[in-house]
Amino acid sequence: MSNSSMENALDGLNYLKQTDQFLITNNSTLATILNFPYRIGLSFSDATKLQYRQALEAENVYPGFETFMNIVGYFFSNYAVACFITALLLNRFVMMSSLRTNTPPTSLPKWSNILLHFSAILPLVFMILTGFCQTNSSNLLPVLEFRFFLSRCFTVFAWSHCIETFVAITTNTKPLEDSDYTIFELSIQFYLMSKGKNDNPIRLEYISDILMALLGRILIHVVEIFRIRNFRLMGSTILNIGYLSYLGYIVNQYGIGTIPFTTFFRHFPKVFSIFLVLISALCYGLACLVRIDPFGGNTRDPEELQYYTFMNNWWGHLNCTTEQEFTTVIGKLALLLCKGTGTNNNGVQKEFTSLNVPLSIHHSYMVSGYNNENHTLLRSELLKLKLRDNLEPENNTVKSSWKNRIWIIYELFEAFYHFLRSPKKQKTTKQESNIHVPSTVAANSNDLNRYITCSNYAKFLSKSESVSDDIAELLLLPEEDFSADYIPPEDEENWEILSHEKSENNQNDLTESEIDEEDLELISDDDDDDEEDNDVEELEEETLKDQLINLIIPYPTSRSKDEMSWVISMWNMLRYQLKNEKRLTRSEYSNLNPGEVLTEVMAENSTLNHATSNNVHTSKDSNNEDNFESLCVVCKTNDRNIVLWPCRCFALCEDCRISLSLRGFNSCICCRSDVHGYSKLHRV
Amino acid sequence: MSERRLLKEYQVVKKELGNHKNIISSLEPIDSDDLTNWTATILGPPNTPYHGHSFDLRIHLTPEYPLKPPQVTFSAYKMPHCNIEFKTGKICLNILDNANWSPVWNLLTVVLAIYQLLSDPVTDSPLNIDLSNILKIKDTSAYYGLIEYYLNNKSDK
Repeated sequence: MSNSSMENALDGLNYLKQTDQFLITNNSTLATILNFPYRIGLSFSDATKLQYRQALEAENVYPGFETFMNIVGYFFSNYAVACFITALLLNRFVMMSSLRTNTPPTSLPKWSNILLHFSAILPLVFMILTGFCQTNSSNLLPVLEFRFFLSRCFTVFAWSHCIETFVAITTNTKPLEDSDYTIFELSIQFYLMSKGKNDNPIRLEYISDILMALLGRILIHVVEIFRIRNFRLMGSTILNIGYLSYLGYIVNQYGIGTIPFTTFFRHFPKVFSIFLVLISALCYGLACLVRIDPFGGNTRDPEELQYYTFMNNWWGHLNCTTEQEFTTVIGKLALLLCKGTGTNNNGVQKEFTSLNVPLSIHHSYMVSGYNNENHTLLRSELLKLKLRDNLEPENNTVKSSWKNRIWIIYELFEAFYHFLRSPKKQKTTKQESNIHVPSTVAANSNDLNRYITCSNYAKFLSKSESVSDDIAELLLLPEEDFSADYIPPEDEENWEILSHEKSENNQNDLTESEIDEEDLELISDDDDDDEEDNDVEELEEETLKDQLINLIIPYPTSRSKDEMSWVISMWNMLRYQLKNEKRLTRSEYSNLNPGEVLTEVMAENSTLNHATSNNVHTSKDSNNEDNFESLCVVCKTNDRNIVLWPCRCFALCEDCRISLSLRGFNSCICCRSDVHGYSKLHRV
Repeated sequence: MSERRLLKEYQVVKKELGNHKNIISSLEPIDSDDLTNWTATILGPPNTPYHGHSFDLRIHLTPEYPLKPPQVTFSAYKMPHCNIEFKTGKICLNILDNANWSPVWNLLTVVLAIYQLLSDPVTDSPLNIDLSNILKIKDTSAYYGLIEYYLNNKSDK
C-alpha cells in the first residue's frame, strides 16, 4: 500500500528516479562516492529539462521567459546564420574596393551590371507576385507555406543586397542604404514570424510589410540600372506615402490592433516626423498669413519670422541628397524643425535669423564682440536708429476700430501659433527681450553698442555701398590698435628738447612726408596757432629735423608704407601732447579729440589702400598664410560664420558651434559672457 | 581631432616663439611626426625664487584637444611650488580645468599662463601645502630658502 502510494507520488517526479544510473558499476565505496553526486546531477538536469518542456507546453508562459527564449533561439536559427553570412559577404565586397585602389580601375562591362541587377530584380518580382497570391488566393502561383515563403523572401533579399553592393563597389560608387529594412532587422522579424503558431499559415498582416521591403529593393535596383540615383528620394517618398496611407486605411478600418508590432515600430517614427513637419508647416503658413494684411497698411514682412530663412532654404539646411531615402530625410527635417525652437536651454543652440553680409567684412570685426565696441560711430547713424525705434511701436498702435477687430483675430492666431510651437515659448520670449531691452534703455547714453542686435548686426558689419568710401570708413573704425606701444625715452631731457623742436617743424615735416593733400588740409587748420613759434634758430634746423625723423620714424632709411601709417597715426597725438604739455595714452587722446582720430584713420586708410585691402577678408583666399584672422578660432579650418548673442563675438564656424554646444559650453569662448543664441552669417 | 589646427599651431609656435625668448626657451613636439605630445622649457621668472632655473613641461593633447584642455605637467620631483604637486608635477591652474578652458587658447597661451603661475602662486588652492602655509604667513626667507633647497637638491630625488 505504502509502496504503491509512493509510486504514485513519484510519477510526477520521475527525475528523482536515478538509481539505475551508474558511473562505476560495482558496490565499492569509491563507486558510491562517485555515483551519488552523479545521480544528484542527473536528477537536477532532468528536473530542468522537465521544467523547460512544461514551460514550452504551457499556454500562458511567463512573457519574459518567452522573449528570452526567442532571443536565445534567434542566435541558433537559420536566419541568424544567413544574416551573418550575408553581412560577411557584404563586408568582403566593401573590403575589395580598398584592395582595388592600387590597381588600375577595371570596371565591369555595362551589360553585366544590368544582367546582375536583373538577376536580383526577377526573384524580387517573383516574390512579390507570390506574396500577392498568398493574400488573394488566386491560382496564378502556388500558395506556399508561410515559413517557406519567409525563408525564400529572406534569401532573395540577401541576394539583392549582395548584387547591389557588388555592382556599386565595382563601379566605384557607394552602395545605397536601406535603413528601413536592414538585413539584420528582417532576419529577426522573420525568425519571430516563423516561430509564431502555425494555426494561421498565411499571416496577412505581415505580407504588406514584406512586400514593402521587396518593393524598396526593386526601387534601388531600378535606380541603379538606369543610373538615376537622384530620383531615389522621389520613388522612396511615393512608396512610403502610399504604404503609410494604406496603413492608415487599415487602422481606420480594423483598429490599431491589427497592425503587427514590428510594422508599427518601424513606421511610427515616419508618421510622427510627418506629423511634426506638417504641424510646423501649418504654423509657419498661419504666421505668414498673419503678417499679410489684405486691407493694406500694416503688412509686415514675413522675413521677421525666425524660421523665414529656414523655410526658404529648407532643403539646403537639411543637407541631404536626393539619393537618400524618405525615412532619413523626413526624420532629419522634423528634428531640425523641433530643435530650432529654443526648446533647448542651451544658448548656443538657439538660432536667430541668419544674416547676409557682404563678402568683405571689415577686419576689425574678425576678432570678437568685446573688441568691437563701437564708440566712434557717427551720431547721425545713432539718430536714425533712435528714430526707427521710436517709430515702430507707434505704427502698430494707430488703427481704426474695425481694423482693430481683425487685429485681435490676428493676435489670436499668432498666440495659437506660438502655443503650438513649444511649451517653453515663454522662456524664449524672455530671452529675446533680454537682447532687445538694452536698445531702448540706452537711448540716452550715446553708446551705439547697445543698438547692435541680431536684426541690425549686418548693417554695422558692412560698409554701406551708397556712401563714398571715406564716409564708409568713418562708420567703421578699426577698434584694435596694431601700432607699437609708446615707450618713454630713456633720457627725459633730450626728449623734452626734441619734442619742443618738433612742434616747430610740424608743417615742414608734413609736406616732406608726402601725405595726401586732403589729409594735409584737415590737419593744417589746426596747425595755425603753432606757427608763431617758427622763428627759432634756423641754423640747427636741418640736424634737428633729422633727429626728429629718427625719433618719430623708427627706421628712416626704409620708409615703407607701414612706417608711413605709424607716422600718421602718431602725428596728431604727439602734437596734442605738446600743446597740452602732458603725455597722453591713445585712449585718452581719442576721448579728447575724436574728430582727429577720424581724420587720422582716413589718412591712414587712403595712403595704405592696398595694405588695408589685404586685411579685409575675402573668403576665397583661405589658403593665405597670414589669414588666420578669418578662420574659426577653434578649428582654424573653416571660415567664421557664427555670431553669438548678445556678446556679438564672431569667432566660430557652424561645425565648431555644434560640437561646442554638444559638449555643453554655455558661455562665449571669447568673452565668457552667457550666450542667448546665435546667428549664422551668409556671405553674399 | 582637428589635425589642421595642430599644424597651424605648430606654425604659430614656430613663428611666435622668438617673441617670448625670456620666458620660454623651447616649445616643440617631442616627435615631429606626432603633434600630440609636446615638451617645453620655461625659465624661472625674475624676482622669484625660481630665477636662474629652468623647468621642463610635458604637454599631452587629447584627441578632443581644442575642446578639452591639454594635459600639462612638470617633471616629477623637480618643481617646488604651492600650486604644483611635487611628487607628480601636476599643476593646479584654473584654465587647465574642463570648466574654465576655452578653445580659443592655444599651446603658447597655456605655457605663458603657467609661467605666470610661477610668479603669482595662489595659496587658496594648494597642491604643496607646506609651501602654501609658509607663503600664507608671509615668511619670505623661509619660502625662498625651502625652494632653494628643493631646487639645488633636485638631483637627489
